[in-house]
Amino acid sequence: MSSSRPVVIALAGLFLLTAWSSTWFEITAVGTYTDGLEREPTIRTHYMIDNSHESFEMSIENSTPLLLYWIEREDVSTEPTIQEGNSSEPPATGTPSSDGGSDPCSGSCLDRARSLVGLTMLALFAALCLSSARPTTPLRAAAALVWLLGTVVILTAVPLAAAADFGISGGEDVGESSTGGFDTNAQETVEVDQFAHFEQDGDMGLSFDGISFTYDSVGFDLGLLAEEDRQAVIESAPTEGEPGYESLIGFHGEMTIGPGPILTWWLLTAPLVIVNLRSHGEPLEEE
Amino acid sequence: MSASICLLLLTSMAPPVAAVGPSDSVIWGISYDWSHFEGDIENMTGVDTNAVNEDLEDAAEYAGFILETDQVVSGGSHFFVESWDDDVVVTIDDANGVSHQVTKRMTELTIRHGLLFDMGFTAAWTDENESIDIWMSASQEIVMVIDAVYTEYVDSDLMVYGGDLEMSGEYGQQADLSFNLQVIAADEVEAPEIDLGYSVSFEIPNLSSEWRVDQPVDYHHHLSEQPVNEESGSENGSESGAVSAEYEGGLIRGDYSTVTGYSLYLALDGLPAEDFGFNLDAFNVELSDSIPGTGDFREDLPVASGAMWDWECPPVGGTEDLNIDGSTVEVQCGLTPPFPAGMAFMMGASLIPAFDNGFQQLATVIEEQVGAWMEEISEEEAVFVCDDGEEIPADWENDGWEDCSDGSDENEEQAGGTFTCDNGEVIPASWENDGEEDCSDGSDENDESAEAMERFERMAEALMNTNLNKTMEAFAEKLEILVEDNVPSEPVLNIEDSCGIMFWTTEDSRVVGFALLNDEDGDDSMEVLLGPDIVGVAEHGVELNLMYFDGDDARDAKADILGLTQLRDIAPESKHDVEELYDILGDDFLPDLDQTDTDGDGVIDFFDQDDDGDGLFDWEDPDPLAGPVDEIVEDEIDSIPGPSILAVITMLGAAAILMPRRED
Repeated sequence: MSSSRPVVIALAGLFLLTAWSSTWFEITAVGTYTDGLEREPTIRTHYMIDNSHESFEMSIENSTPLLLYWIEREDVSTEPTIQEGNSSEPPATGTPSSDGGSDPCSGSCLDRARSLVGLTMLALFAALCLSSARPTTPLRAAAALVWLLGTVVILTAVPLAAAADFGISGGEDVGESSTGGFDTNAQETVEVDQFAHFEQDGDMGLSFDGISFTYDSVGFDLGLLAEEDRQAVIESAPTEGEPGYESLIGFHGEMTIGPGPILTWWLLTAPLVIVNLRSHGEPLEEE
Repeated sequence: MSASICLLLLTSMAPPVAAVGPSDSVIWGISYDWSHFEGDIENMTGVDTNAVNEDLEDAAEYAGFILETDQVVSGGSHFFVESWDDDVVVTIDDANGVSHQVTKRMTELTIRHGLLFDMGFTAAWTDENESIDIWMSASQEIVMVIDAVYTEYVDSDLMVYGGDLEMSGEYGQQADLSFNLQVIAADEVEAPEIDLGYSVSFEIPNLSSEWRVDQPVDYHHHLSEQPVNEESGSENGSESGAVSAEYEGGLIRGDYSTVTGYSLYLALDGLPAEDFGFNLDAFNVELSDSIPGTGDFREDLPVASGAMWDWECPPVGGTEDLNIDGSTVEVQCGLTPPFPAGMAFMMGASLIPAFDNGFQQLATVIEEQVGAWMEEISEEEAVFVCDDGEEIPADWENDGWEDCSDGSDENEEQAGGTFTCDNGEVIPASWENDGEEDCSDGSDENDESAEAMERFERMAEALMNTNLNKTMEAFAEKLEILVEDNVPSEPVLNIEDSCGIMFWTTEDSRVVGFALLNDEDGDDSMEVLLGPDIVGVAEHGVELNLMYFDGDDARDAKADILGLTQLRDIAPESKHDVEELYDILGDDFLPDLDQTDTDGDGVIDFFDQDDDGDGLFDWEDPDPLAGPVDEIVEDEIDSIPGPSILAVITMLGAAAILMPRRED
């Protein structure tokens, strides 16, 4: 065994252990109401996954105007309610899903992803140990292959599992939010069909932190207007100073989705895998 | 943590109107150091709070579990009133625009109040296989800073033509509660952690107002002209009585700026959320705001004033002599406000619009939200209208019973279909996981929340089968016995036998102090518990740490606290001794505790009241970390940065990569 191999094994163990116990996946979003509300209320959210926990943090700065907005606006959705309707149609939330819905893994996708990540890490460590003890080309190639597989798992399986468990994939019955979902589903989102002259714009890019999204929307919230004033706003967008202009709501959001420090620690194992690949003392080749 | 409001609490603005009066001013005030609170409670009531804590712990030990608790309070409260005359003649216009030649009569009110409170509680009970651990920490911080300068315009006969008020102030309050619970029962573990807190603050960086009267008012005469009460003369036969008056026709106007802040936060961890359909283990939400406001006001200002000359606290009453700065001052005893009526009413009339403005938005949110909740609560029950027009409660729809006479309430297809039990039975889909077993084999109740409820029931049952009930009974019985020994049947100081009285000088109608008296030995003659040195009147035997100041002592005490405008100045953390709480609550109480021990005396700086060992308490030390010169050098040497863990790992990684090359 080469003299560097114990160091490689020790460092690989250390890096993998640290990767396992660090943050795996993070979503950070900041949304600001840029028009219509005093002092630009800002919502900050942070969603994080690690080897055992999913945690969610949300803070609302300058919250009073936003709370007032949520309280004072009237729901102008066209869906009939049971009170209005003498209708036998039940409220949407009352409809049970007797077949468990379209959730591919019954709400435990993350648990499966965690197992997969754990197995991949164990496999990489085992492959490095084995190839150190018996440095054959297949074993060294297996270590490199496991490393590549682990990278894919960290970059895709964990986020997809989180998305599946959160029901992001199957949202056909969820109306489109006027904030593009940037203010989180935990809040009272206002759907775009309650806006007149609604315009939105979004962009996506890559950064060191992951995938970045930006979202801008602007429109006249009909829920802020008296019923008799809504039609006029629907027909013609008011300009500043005209009646109805006070219902203008503008929103700007930025969101970053990316792997947590797990990726950094995982990538730190790359040089070790390379060292393992390039290391000498290969009995089979020497033969 | 509510960082934004915390910041407001900690960094209140320096009051722009704080000042020190001339050396011949009349000044009096009180100060209290809250770190003596537990001792003073014991002095007054005879109850030793530390002994009660020990009783709790002993009773728990007797009953077979561990309980530890402690509370710490510290801080300071200071209240000073200073007044003086500025004899320079000035001209002012009254509310009718008529000019008057007047002089200024100044009154300055200074209030500083800062309080830190912490309490902790841990309990650990265990039986053979079951256990309960409770950890709780609660804290509160309060700060109040008020500086008000009142300039009153009077003529030589002490008739008042108006006043000006300059004021700044802040009130802030913050409270936090952390509660951790771990229950092990029936081979299950539940360990929820809850943190919640709030903070509110109201700051008035600047408030100024002007009051002008239609007709000059004479309320100062209430303190200079003894009223004649012919019906009931005082015991010593002198003329006595009460006098009061109300004055209309004044006008006040002014402007202000305010900053209203609040923050609410809730953090939950370790809750079995997944059992109830939430894919979250930890949840943390915070709302905060800091609302700036400005405004002005203009309104009529009615003023009322009065004095009771016949108020006595025997043996103190009528006229008395006070010793102030070595001189004897003859004063009238009675009851009257501590500062001029014009100042009190101006402060009230100015603060109300500022307060209203600051809390307007917040009050609207609370009002609207509470209104919405009330509406929800009082909302008429939702109804379902049958095809034939009959109305039935909405929750009767598709409940398995035909409630409409035409049966139109039972329409399973529209309601979401049916659920087929494992044994083949068919029930309405809405019955699945409704908390009741509708399938005869119970297969309709199989969701995670039902499983969680079953688990909780198993845990509760397991706990009921332990000695927990008997332990609690034994604890309560023992505690009753122990506490009896530490709580006297009669308080040391009977508050009912107390009396407060004000002192003023009649020649210039100026309040010069007050006293709180108490009858110590039940002989109907009171002793001075708090107040000035009254000639011929004894001091109370119970010594409280509430300090009364007048004359030069008050001037010095006021000068000492005038610059204290932040919570940590008024209530220094170094004086807030939480070491015992830390022993009880452990690292969770102070997770980021700095272990630095500057003077190397074995007590870390956070708990050391003299960090640098120079013999000065930290709260009295201008530079509590300065220390002797040689120690500073040592500190500097210690502060040379060492390699971080990451740097070491990176170096090892680089070595691992480079090693094969060297072998090449």
